[in-house]
Amino acid sequence: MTTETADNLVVGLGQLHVRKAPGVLVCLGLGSCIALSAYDSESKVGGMAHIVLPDGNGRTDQDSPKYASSAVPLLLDEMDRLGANMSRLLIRMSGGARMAGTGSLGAVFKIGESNIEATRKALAESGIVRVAGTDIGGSHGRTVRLSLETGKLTITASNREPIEI
Amino acid sequence: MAELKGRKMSTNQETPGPAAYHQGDRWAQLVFEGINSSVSGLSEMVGQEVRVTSLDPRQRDAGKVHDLLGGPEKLIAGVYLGIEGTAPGQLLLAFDPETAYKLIDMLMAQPPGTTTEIGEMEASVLGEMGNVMGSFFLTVLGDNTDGQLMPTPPLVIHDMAGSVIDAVLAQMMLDADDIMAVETKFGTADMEIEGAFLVLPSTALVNLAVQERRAA
Repeated sequence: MTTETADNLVVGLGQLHVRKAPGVLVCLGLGSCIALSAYDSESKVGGMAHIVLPDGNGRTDQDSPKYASSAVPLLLDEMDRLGANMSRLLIRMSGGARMAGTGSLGAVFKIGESNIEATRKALAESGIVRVAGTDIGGSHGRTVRLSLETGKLTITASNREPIEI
Repeated sequence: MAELKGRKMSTNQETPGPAAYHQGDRWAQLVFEGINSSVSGLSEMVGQEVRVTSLDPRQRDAGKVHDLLGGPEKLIAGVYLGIEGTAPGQLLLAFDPETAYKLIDMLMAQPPGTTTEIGEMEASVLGEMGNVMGSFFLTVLGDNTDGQLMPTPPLVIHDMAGSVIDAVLAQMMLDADDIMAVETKFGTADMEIEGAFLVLPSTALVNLAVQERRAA
């Protein structure tokens, strides 16, 4: 099990972290949630948002990073603040699985698809026209790691070989 | 710590919740009775006495709920049931895969060690077990609250705990980031079959229990 250390920062449910190298940002055991990562290879500033829900329209906490609609601008603002060159940003997205979902429970597990759609929409609204890599959808869990030193984004899943995007 | 029917039960709260949660004795009592009934259903199915070893209803940070299942990357076999009717909620029965294999062998009257993976047949057996436990649990809640509560058909998911539970938590995080979660562990005296039974009620479901207490 991955544990949090000085170099290994776990981005929990609905959280967002941005920092400079060294270190690794990790989203653990994603199902329907999205790990949205941004990285600038020159400044070695990287960030990751653990998105839970599509949007918080009308809710008192609508600016929380748990929503795709607010996580995207918050992530980009924080990257900018820590010195990332916004024109060099490498944006990658992983997660959004539908772990199950037939019958009356289908709506509960369909949220992964809504999260993917809302994240893409929020990226477009923030002027991000290109997502460099994705590993989204499916029906399996994922753990996502972003190395702030190298920019390597590694995705592991049970009974699958790790992949990089 | 509260003591109910000779078994220890923690009712600690990490953070203040809705007013109904502070009147937690009635809610905790009801959950305790419901889970005892649920576990007795499991006992009947496996033909061995299964006991509740701990029960902890508590207001928790949604982001920490997967810790109750061993952490977000821990592989689990989970049986998920929604609660439908008067007030919604969620139930999740979770086992370590090895424990799930043992249970499946017991339920199918097979020699121990026969089951080594969860295929369609095995998932069906686990789902039926979840259905029985969920129905027993909701019958107690329904009978004591005037509510009509029914489980949805079970879904069996075998993957990392975080991935099994995050869609369920997402629904609850629409209301609040602190949620009421009841952690239950159970096992047998002579065989290690520890499992976790999470009850994730809506505020409406907890209120339903509390209102009945006021009316009583």
